[in-house]
Amino acid sequence: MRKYIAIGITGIIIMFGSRYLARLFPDNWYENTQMLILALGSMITGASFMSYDHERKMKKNVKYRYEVNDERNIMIREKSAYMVNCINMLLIAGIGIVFLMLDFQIAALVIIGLLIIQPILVIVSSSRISKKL
Amino acid sequence: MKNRVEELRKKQNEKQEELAIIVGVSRQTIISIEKGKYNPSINLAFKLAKHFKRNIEEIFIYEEESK
Repeated sequence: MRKYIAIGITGIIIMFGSRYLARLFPDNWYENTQMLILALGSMITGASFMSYDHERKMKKNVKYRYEVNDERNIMIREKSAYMVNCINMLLIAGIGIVFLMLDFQIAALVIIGLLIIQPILVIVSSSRISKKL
Repeated sequence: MKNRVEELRKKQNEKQEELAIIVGVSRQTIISIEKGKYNPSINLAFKLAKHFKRNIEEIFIYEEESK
């Protein structure tokens, strides 16, 4: 629990310190870097406080704990994640085609690379899981 | 797979929510089991059997799938 608070506070410090941290980079990068650091800080803060809230609820709220650990809900989450992954793949493929039509070859290559990596990752992760089970 | 969860729960005058808390699942899971939409894991089946003080076979009736 405490680690999430510590990470959250670190995120806030990063957000407030973005102006100074961005100065470590070249002058023409300043604005973009500052925005990037600010986004990173807010992401860290948001994620850590969400995790903190989740842990707190898991300890104190019995209904919430049952909802999270419920086997049917776990199955629903797994199935929906699989469906979302399929939709994401289709969307990425669509974007790849658009990039090819617009003649953005490098971006299209990156996307094709992502599409190729995806089934390889599925094979690797499924073999890892099958060894554990 | 058929089951007698609803019948046994009603015999014990329990609400779905109460049974859900006892066996550590959500109310929706109990509803789905009673409707026969969801087949519980072996752990949950044992918990239900223990709670109703019955054998698993008395609560869950296995039916061969029609070919």
